[in-house]
Amino acid sequence: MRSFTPGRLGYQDFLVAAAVAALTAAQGIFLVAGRAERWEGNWASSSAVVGWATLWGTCIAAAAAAWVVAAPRRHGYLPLVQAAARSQARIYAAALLSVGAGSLLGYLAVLGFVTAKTAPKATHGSADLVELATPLAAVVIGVGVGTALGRVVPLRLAPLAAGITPYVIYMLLVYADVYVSQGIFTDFPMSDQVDRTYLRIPVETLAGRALFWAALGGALIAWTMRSGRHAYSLLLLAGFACSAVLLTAGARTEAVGEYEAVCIEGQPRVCVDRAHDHLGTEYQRRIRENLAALRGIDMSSVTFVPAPDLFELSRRYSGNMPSAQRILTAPLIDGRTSPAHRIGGASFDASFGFSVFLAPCLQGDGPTAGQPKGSDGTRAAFVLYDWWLGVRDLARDGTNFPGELKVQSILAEDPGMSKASETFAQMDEGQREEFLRSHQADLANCRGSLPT
Amino acid sequence: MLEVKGVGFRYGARSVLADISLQFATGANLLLGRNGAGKTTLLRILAGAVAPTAGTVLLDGQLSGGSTRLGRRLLGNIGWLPQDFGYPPRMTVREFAAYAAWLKAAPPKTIPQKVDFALQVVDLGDRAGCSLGSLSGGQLRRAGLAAALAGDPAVLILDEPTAGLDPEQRDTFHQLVQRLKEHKTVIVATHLLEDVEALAGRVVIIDQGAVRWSGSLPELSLLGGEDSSLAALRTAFHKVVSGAS
Repeated sequence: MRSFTPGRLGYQDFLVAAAVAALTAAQGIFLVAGRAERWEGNWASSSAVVGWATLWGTCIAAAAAAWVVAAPRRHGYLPLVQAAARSQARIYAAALLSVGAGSLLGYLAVLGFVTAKTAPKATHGSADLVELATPLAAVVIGVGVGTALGRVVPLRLAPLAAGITPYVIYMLLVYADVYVSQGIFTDFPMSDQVDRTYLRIPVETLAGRALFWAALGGALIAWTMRSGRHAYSLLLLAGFACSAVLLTAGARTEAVGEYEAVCIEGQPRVCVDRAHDHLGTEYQRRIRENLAALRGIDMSSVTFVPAPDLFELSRRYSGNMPSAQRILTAPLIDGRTSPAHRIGGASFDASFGFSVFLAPCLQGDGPTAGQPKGSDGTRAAFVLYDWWLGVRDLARDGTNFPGELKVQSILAEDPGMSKASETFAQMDEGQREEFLRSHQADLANCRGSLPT
Repeated sequence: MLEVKGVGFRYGARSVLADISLQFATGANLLLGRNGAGKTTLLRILAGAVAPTAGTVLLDGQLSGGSTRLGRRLLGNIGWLPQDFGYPPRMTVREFAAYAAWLKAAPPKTIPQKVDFALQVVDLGDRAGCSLGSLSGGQLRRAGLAAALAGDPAVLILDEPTAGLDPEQRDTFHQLVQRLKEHKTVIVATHLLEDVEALAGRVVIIDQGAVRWSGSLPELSLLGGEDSSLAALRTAFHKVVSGAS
């Protein structure tokens, strides 16, 4: 069966396909690249992240499908189409396939981008094919919504109405889920925000979700193309798939192997979990760089970990419990994400200094860690953290990472701390090195004293 | 032969056509009626563009149109030139005719040949590569007729084909239909008595959604007076429709 369209219609189909592909790819890549710290280097997260592109990708496909389906109305030759001897499906097949192919190409471009970013870094696992069913379903539901609305909605509104409908459906599902509070709609939106680093959505849910949307999209297309028998069959299939999603809604499986600690020997010694082991070498290098700016403090016996409970989780889930003489937490952070799959610039450096100087004073029940508020230990920690921010050329207004204290404001309110800060900054390198060396043990227990 | 049996059509509560039964044989069949009489709706039903709310349309004894595969296939034997037909403005005459032929399920390999023939019939061969947007009103009508003919249909339905044409263009169009009616069933809806006089076929007068009179051109002339002038046709037409109302 060959679809025939005279020259210019075929050319227009090609243009539509190219535009849909370009827009889908552009928005998708923009969306996933903007949050690369949540997936780059980890196959499980990378496989799921292509689904993010479906939020707007479906809208684009729907608008384009409505545009091409409305063409006979727009140009006034709908009566010829209505009186055609060919089936409606054959008449619109070329145009709708163009939209579908364009949309699919767009998602493939996003997938290519994600693969190109992750493949060189990933240490284990592979792309999860079930996750990739979501973009396929997004193509069908997008084209389905556009086809239906392109035929029934007033001409000028059709592409716009079709374009916003997938987003409205997404938001309705989100609101419905919040309103019902039972979590039954949680897994229906194709663009979910479930971090796959440690948690996985069951295959039944993912497959059911993809099948549900694809069958629903197919039913819309069949109904619009006046094929009632196919429409009802597909609706039935969508119903079954819907049941599968409802039955498994909210279920998550824990990827326990991802908690296993992986240590990299050398100086400094670092341990990360399996999920982030693609960052191990860089993590070690970045800590080494930061330590180079901390002359006087001996960290040779310290093992750096991204989370304080790393070893405990590793022991619990994998039975592997590395030994460490002394542990210091330096979070894997990038921007507002922690643990991240990418190590940030300012956020990591600042949080490293925070861990070295301030964290000992913040552990326990409150910011004083057993020390009275405003004690010399805490004040010294603030002064040294302020110096650290200056040395690393970082912002002092509490914007380096979420939860950072506004050191600038705290120092401004305490003349003693301000003066100590100036004093420490004016010391030569040798004096600072000597100060840090002599106070290292006290600083680790939040019992340091202000530089004088 | 195209036949309608008990055909009715309603827009919601409003009845547009009621219980129409007609047979259209080879030759010219003229649907005459005032504006809003229901001619266009009847033609849309005959062409398969809309389904009647009552009754059936048969082509050579088989149900035409509807959602069945056979019904759709039969529409390939019916060419239709709507009164106001639209087109993508950059599409050429040849592309438009080819698309219409494809819609009528003509095998793709035969389409170029059929299109060439249709363009030759309507004398637009030299304008085949021109865009539809560049054509005059008369040429556009002929392009539409070429599109209707491109599927090589046995039945040709023309809705007000001479509306908006100047007298010379109208004469050309009449001559064209005269040639086509020799071997096709040509159904022409018009409100112009000049068309009826020029095409000289079977006349059906429709008014208020019902068939008011049916017969030959000479019979209609007799109804209006002794001669066969346009004035006699006009008198006859008024007699029929005033009797109806």
